[in-house]
Amino acid sequence: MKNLFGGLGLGQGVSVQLDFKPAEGQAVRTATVKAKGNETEQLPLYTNRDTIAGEIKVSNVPGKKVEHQGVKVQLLGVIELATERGTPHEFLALVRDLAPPGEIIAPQTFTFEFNNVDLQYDSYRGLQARLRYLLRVTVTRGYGTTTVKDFYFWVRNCEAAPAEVAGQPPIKMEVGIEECLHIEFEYNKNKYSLKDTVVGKIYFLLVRIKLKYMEIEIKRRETTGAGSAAKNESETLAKYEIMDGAPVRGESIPIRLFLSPYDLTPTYKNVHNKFSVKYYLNLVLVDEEDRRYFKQQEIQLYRLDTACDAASAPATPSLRLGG
Amino acid sequence: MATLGEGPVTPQEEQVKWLQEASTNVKRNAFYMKRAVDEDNMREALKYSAGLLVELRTSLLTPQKYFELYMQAFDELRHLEAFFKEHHTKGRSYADLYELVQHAGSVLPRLYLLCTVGSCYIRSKEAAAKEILKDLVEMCKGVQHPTRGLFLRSYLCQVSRGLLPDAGSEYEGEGGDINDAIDFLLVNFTEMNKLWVRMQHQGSQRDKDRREKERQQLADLVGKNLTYLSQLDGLDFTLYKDVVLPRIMEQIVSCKDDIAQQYLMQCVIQGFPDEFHLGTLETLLGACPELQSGVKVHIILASLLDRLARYAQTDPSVVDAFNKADAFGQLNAAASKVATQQAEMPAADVAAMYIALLGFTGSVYPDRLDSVDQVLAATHAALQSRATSRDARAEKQLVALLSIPLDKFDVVTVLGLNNYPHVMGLLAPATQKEMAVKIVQVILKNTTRVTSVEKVDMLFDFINPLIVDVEGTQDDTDEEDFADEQSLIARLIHQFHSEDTDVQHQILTAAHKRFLKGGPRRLKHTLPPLAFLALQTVQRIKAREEAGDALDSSCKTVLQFTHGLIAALAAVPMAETALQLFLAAAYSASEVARLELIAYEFFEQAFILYEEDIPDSRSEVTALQSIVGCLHRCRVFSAESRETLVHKATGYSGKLLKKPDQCRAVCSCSHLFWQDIPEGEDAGSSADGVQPPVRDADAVMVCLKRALKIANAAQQQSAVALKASDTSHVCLFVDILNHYLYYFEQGNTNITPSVLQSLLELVSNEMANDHCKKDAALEAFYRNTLKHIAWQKKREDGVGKLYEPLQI
Repeated sequence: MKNLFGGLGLGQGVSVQLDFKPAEGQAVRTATVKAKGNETEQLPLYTNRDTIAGEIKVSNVPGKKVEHQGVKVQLLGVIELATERGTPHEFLALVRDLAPPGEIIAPQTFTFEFNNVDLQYDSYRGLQARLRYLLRVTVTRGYGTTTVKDFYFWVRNCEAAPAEVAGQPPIKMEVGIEECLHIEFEYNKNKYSLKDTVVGKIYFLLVRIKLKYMEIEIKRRETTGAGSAAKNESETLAKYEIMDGAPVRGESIPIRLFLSPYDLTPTYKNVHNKFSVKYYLNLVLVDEEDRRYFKQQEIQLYRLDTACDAASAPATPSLRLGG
Repeated sequence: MATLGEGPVTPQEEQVKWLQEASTNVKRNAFYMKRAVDEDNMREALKYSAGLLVELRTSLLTPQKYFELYMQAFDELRHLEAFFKEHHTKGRSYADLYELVQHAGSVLPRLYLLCTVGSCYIRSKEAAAKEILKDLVEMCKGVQHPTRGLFLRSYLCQVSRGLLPDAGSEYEGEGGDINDAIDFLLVNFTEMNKLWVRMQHQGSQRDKDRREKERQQLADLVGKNLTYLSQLDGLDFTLYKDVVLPRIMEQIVSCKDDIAQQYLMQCVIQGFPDEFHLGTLETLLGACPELQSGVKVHIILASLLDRLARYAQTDPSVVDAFNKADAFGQLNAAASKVATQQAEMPAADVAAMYIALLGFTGSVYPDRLDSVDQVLAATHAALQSRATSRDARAEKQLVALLSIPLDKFDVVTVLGLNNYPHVMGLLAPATQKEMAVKIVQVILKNTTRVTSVEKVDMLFDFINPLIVDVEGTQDDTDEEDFADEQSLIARLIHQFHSEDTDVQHQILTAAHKRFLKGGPRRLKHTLPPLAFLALQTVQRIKAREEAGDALDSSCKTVLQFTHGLIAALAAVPMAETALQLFLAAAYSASEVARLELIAYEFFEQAFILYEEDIPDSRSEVTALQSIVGCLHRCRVFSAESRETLVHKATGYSGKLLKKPDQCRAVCSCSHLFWQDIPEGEDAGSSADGVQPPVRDADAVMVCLKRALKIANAAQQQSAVALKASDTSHVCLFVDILNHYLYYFEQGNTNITPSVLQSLLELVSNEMANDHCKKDAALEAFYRNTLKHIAWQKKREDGVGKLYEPLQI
């Protein structure tokens, strides 16, 4: 709204534009992020210890000079929780003063640069929690006419791939309902990168019910608050049918679930003591009376090093079976 | 999917409707898919192709209707395939597409798409064929619904056809080798079979029939894997023996399903080459006893045996291979094992199994009777415990079984096998009889000779039901059938033939003994041929005697035997036949054996029969003619005995009831005094117990005159009876005229041309009668007689001269 008023000028408005400029010749990367509904938006993408630089252009309505008490740009990291609506928690706040109090007679361009910024948390948009980074440009003026404009950007951090074997033991488990259904399932790892493939097997040890189908759900659980005030919210992000029809004893059903098509994030543990995001694979068996039998299993998600993360690079030249 | 509220519909209508709905959806999605293809939009194309494939998830359709839907989808997927290829040429890697299609959330469409891309992927050679195949065949496990799974895997099988790393294929090498190709097909086969078998156990018991029908319809989907396997170029015997067959058999046996076992065993037998079977008999046969009790093992074995038998005929060296592999022993053992292990197997099926084995033996080892015997022994062992005699089907099969060796081998030899009677003993009496008929028929058809007493005895043992009444059986055959049966036996008798007449005599005696037990009903059929055979034997003995052989059985003994035989027939009673036989025997005794006393005895018997047992005048006439005819030709009798016999015969002729009969008989009797002189023999010669031919012109004349007298009497008789139209006496006159002519030509001096001339006039007067002219037969007879005279007159030789004075 401020912008709107600012834009309209109301006599003395300024408009503010911000261009993210690549530091030291590297291209500005962008991230496609889901917005409300089915829309997506493109945001500049940074990662920890990046330098965030750019140009800010402050323009006045031509022929009308604008007095101000200073122009500054802030880099903010904010956590917003649904439970604490309206009181976002700033965990990062850096500021650069761009201009001392003065007048703007003609459009003016300021360059800025935040070097080596500590962007330790990833940007996140969930149901209950959001973690956002933004640049806030403030043209301070008299009461009620200060112009503030926010420019959001996105942060993703990568992890190195975990040590191959020791770091990722497979998930193996035998579950069942006595005298009714016994299965053994196995996911090849407990830790997956976002572009990874879950490979596994369901082994039917005993089947006395008529199953209709079986699917794997990917679930995300956000936890906000702590202790007794903790609040959980779960969301099913994907359903992937892996079996049609009723198996008999001794059958084993293969699982191969590509994670890349889904909008997943890494697992976040206790982000700034405010929230956590966890992922689960939920194995669901549905019988002919539509009763559901399920077993939920947490998996760790992480984002692999950017070099591997880039969508354009083929993972391996060989067959991509995900195994 | 089904809409409600349309009133009751039949299941068929429902099927049609469901199919239509699904089909419409497929078409709609296919339309959008093709549009997306045109717009080069991969994402949309995949979306709509998945959309059309989702229709295949239906559980409502019967396999047949589902197949239609499947084919529709199959065709549509070809567009998509072309699109994949197009994208590939534009630089998109198949690896990429292979992953992309796996993002589909629904498993069935996903797998169809995966198979489709997979086939392109292999074709591009960007990845090893074996890896893709292995992956596809494994991923397809995601569909556990039987029908859907079967069709999916069938799709996999179909799209991967020609892409297997078979030996000599372009995908061999980096793409894998024949082992991978085999492995792929075997795994797919195993999985499909499991699904197919599983169908049996789904749904309620009530639908069992319908379900089994549906399963039969799906059988070929499963079998296709085996067909493809057999078509692999790289499949050699070692691979087949060590890898393919054991795995197939393992699956077949372990699935424990009747329908599957039945079908798949047949598939294996029909699908793979003969030489493979020969080399793996042990495995194949080893599986047979393990099959479910509901499986018709005999059909399986039969088709195997049939193949092997045909194989053996292609090349003589094959038979050696058979021997080397002890094919027969193995087959026999397998059959026994099946019979013992499957206690519930119906007797008919057991028999059918052995029929197959026997057929095999017969065509592969045409000279190995011991094998036949072994099979029979095994059959007997297998069937002993099963009550066959109350099972009509089993009986039928057994008859068929017993008939096989009869056709292929010498019947008598076959009958001599130890186990043949045992098996035959399993039959119910009525069937035994049927079998007996069969045996006889075969003997007759092949004109097999039965050459020893032992064999005759044995044969009689087999056909006993035909020879005697079997106790405890209701003989319900009607007269006609009975006569047919017995005439078979009558024909059979002529197959008893030994070169050694002594043996032949023994055979006769043995047969006679048997026949006597059969009672009068049979005797009348069986004794006459036996008698004739005996007489034939007499001839042969005579020939040998003349050749100087030392013999145990003389003509005399055989004739004596014949006597007894005919006497028995006379006691049946069958007087007329017996009489004829006595005459035949008499002739034989006289003209062959030259035994006057015996010949006389036979005549005596014949006369006794004539006097005592000939029932009516018509038979008397016939009998008398026979007697005269026979006696006329007999030349063994001394004047004295002949006198007696001739006297008796002429005496009979005068005592006949009807005048025409009398007349003709008297004419005939005239010949008794006028025997033919065989060519090359003088009128006065007599040698070797043969009397010279009798030529008594006076006696002939007496007879002929008497005949004329009787004819006159007949004429008067008919006049008295006011039968003006009766021409029979005229006929007699013509008859007598002919006799006159005969003797005239023969040189009987009592007959002069003038005697003849007056007779001719007499006849021509009679013939002038209107009634005679109307009698066409008589007219022709007369005309021909005259023609004969005219003809003879024209002759240049002595006869012509003889006739010259005659005027017509």
